[in-house]
Amino acid sequence: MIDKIFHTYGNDSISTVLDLGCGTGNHAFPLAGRGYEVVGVDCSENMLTQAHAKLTNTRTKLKLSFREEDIRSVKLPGQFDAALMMFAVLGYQLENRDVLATLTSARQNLRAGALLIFDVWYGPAVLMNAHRNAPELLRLPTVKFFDLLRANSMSPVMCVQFRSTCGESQERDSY
Amino acid sequence: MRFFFPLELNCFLESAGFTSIRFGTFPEFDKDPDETTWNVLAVARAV
Repeated sequence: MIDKIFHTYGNDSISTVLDLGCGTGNHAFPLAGRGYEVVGVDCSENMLTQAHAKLTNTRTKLKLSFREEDIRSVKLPGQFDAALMMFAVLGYQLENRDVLATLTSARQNLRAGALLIFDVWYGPAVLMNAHRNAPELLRLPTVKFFDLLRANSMSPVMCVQFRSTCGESQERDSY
Repeated sequence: MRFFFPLELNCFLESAGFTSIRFGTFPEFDKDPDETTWNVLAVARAV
């Protein structure tokens, strides 16, 4: 899938890839196996030990290396053609300043026109299941609750569906 | 773990020097996300 996105949006100009939050290299190894030059970055020494062990045991010669760095501040030599943050890496940056630092760091390691690919948990789906997953939302007053949904791009239809999913708002109004 | 909405993602991306290209479902990237989509794959381009 990532390789397909590279070809679709990268104009076949991608050869170097920065894998931010690479873990043990589950994305880095397949990409390196396809011929990309990959640098994996992670702050976990344990994960990188496993990644290095896998690299040592790989018989194929890969253009792949790993660095122990904080993805919020890493600065590597050169500029990459693409960066990845897979398995919800961005979602572990809980504070806004950490999200912005992570994205800014990614940008500083990329050339103009380079691609950034990442996956995150999608808020509208999370809120639609809030009665199970975020019960604190149900304690908001109704007006604030729907303001929150609208402010985050929930369509009127989705708001109604959400209301239906959660039941009547009496419980919320009582707070 | 944190979740994101399209507006805030776009805001973060623009602030960091990216322009958003597409949000698609993960792993079926060709599909548009909806209220049943837990994982979204985002593609952005460095400005």
